[in-house]
Amino acid sequence: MTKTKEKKMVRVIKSIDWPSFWIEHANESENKVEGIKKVRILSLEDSKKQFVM
Amino acid sequence: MYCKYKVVEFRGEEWQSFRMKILSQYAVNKKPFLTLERVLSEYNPPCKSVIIEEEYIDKDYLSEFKAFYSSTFKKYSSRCMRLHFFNCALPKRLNNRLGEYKNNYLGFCIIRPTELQRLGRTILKPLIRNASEDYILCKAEYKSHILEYEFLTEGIPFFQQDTKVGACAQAALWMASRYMSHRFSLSEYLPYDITHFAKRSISWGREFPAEDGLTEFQMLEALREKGYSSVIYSRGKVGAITSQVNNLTELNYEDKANLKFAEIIYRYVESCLPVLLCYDDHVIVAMGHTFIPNIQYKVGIQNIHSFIINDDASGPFRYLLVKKEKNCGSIEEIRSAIIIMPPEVVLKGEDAEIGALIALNKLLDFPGSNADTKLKDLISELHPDYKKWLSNLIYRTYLLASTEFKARISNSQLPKEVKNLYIRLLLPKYIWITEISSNELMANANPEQRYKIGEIIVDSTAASTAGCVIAMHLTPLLFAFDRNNTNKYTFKRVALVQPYPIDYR
Repeated sequence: MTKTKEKKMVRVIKSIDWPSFWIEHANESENKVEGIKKVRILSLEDSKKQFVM
Repeated sequence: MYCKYKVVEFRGEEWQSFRMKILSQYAVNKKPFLTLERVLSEYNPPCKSVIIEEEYIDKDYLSEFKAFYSSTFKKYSSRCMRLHFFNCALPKRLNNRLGEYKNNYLGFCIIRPTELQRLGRTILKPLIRNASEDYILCKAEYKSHILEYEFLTEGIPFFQQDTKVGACAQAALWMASRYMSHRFSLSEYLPYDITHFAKRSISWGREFPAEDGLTEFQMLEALREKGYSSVIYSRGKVGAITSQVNNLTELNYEDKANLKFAEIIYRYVESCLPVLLCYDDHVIVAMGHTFIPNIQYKVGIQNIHSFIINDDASGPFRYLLVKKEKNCGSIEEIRSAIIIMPPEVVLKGEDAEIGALIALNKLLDFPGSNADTKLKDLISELHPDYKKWLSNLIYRTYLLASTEFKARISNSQLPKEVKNLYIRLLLPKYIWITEISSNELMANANPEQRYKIGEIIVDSTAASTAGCVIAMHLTPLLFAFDRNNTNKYTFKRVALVQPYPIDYR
């Protein structure tokens, strides 16, 4: 029984089309990171305060 | 003409009169010195003896002397005092047995011959108040000498601003860069260099005295001029970042943003990289964190209760909470974080984690033999324990030198097939590692009984998160990918299916 399940799992893994997997990964990654890039701009105004201690 | 050393009992009569003499000449902020004394009492075993070394020539103070104190009307000495701390009683006379006390050495500090803010270069062994909770990661090896003996301290650097050659920003930059120079073989900053490089292209007024401090831009500029690679994160702008924290529906937007900001800082601290935390009017350095696990937590960052910081205004080994409690300081007051990274690293921590998790989730959600099943269901059928773990996954992402990675795994309890494959992998100088665990496997108060079920190795030189994964292991599956050819990969089935201990640094 376990062997059949194992075989099933290995068969699924071997069916993965890796070039497509990584193309989809790239598209999903870019979408996620794009959101970050848009909000990571630091303005000069943000940094005008002097640090004194 | 000769070296002058004097042994005194810490907290003894001689120490009391010595400290009164120092403190009576110590203007403005005495707190770092008082904190240092308290820290020395907190070591286990605590400090028992101090060797006072007079006429010490300190390169950092000489840099300050050259930049400012040599040209004042009042005469300042160019020599300092150095105090060496030991956690044992020492003989009154230094003799040829001093070498026997190398393991009792706690570190040293410099006392400047000035009247303002006198605590100079200080190197201390990490103070671990609670062994299962405190993780001080930014430590490196520093040497010091007494007579013919060399003492090694695996410690962290602390420095109090003198206010004339540097303010808090310079002190924070000095602490972070002194550590980076020892740990990552980067160039060393002297106090004068920091102010000089910071103000070379954006001066905003006179160079010295430097009591007006630096802006974030000037700090970044000082780092760039010296060949350091740095990144700044602005607190108000992390709200939109993709993170597991977004799934915590019980939190409001501000609490989520705060946790995400902490998560960004945490990944770098866990990577042994110091993080400069900027308030509106002050800067401190995060060098470690505390970890207090709780089975109820759904996201890894919730286990991080506070960061362990060096604050030039209040002293070494202080805590900064992640979430505000009563009157204690928290990262809610921090407006930006500056990270110093090895120059070879391109991919940022959060991008590495995003790349790793997208790959992992795509793999686990890959359709099984029929439309209703996914690969994770097949894994759970084979290994029933995995069902609960896979539904509560938490992650820990950090940067590691690939040589250190290979050295550590050869001594780890990783399954044999995984070890063999990892050791033979061609890797860049630094790799990001995302460890896969579950809240249940991480919830034990004993660090030796916290476990993981896999890890993902990410290329730190990747230009983007797209296809940045080098290897992926989620017991029982193990993959290695060729970064230059998406068709080429290795797949192995791992025979021993059980969680293995987290390997802490």
